[in-house]
Amino acid sequence: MIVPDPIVQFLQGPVVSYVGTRNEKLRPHVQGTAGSFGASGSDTVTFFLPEVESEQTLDNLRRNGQLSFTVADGPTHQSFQLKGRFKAARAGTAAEAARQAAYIAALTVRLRPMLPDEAIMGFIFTPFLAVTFQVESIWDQTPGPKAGGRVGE
Amino acid sequence: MLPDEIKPCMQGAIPAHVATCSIDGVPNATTISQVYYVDATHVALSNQFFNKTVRNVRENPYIAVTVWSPANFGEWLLEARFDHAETEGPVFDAIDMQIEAIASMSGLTGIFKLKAADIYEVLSVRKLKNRVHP
Repeated sequence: MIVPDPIVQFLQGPVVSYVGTRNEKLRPHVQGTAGSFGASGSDTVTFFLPEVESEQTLDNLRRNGQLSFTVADGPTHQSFQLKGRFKAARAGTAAEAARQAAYIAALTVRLRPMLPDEAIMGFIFTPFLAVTFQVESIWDQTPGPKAGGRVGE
Repeated sequence: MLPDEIKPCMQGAIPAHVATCSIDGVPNATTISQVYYVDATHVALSNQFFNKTVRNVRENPYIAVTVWSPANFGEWLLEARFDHAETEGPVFDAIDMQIEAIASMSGLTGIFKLKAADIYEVLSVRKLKNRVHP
């Protein structure tokens, strides 16, 4: 599905993000990610997956392609879950590294009321892979009456 | 199984991330306010809504959870299997009180109501090597 522009804007902002995958025995796995982007009118999203501790995530994606990508704003709890299918993973470009650095700086500021800077800055973000997936559905996960509702239908 | 070092990660200071998978193979990843320490081989998750996480574990009992230390921000990965749900008793009561406390601090009072304490057997636990200063 085409990702609505407000969701594209949201996932390009200073949001906490992580990816859920599963192996061939349906055992789930979860890993934090570090930045993401989409494009107006596009049905794909790309997120930055730190290479450290990424072996299980990548193995799962390459074997079955299924993933769930969640983005959440710390202070407001607004969050969305994008489900879809893995398309490709490649080394991040220099431009993407700059995008990631800007994201980390913005996230640090956004979460400063709740976490000291070292909480974010202490993670190993590089090297990273740019992982692209095709979005199949989007779900509102913001706590409250709309939680669990499908977006864009 | 669960080292003492992980206990501060289970006090609700920093939200956790939990992944589940439906019986037809679709992953689900969501934020939870707290993973609760039950004993050295069990943790509990609050069941507050019959949401996708709960539906998934009722058909495929495995979860993966990452928790953060509020002391040094180290991240831990747990793999666990749903064991049973409790709707009363000391674990339920302790979680219920904690939920009310977290909800009031987050400005979300009234949205959370505990339906059950879902008890999980921990299958594996390890500290992730993804920090500059582990």
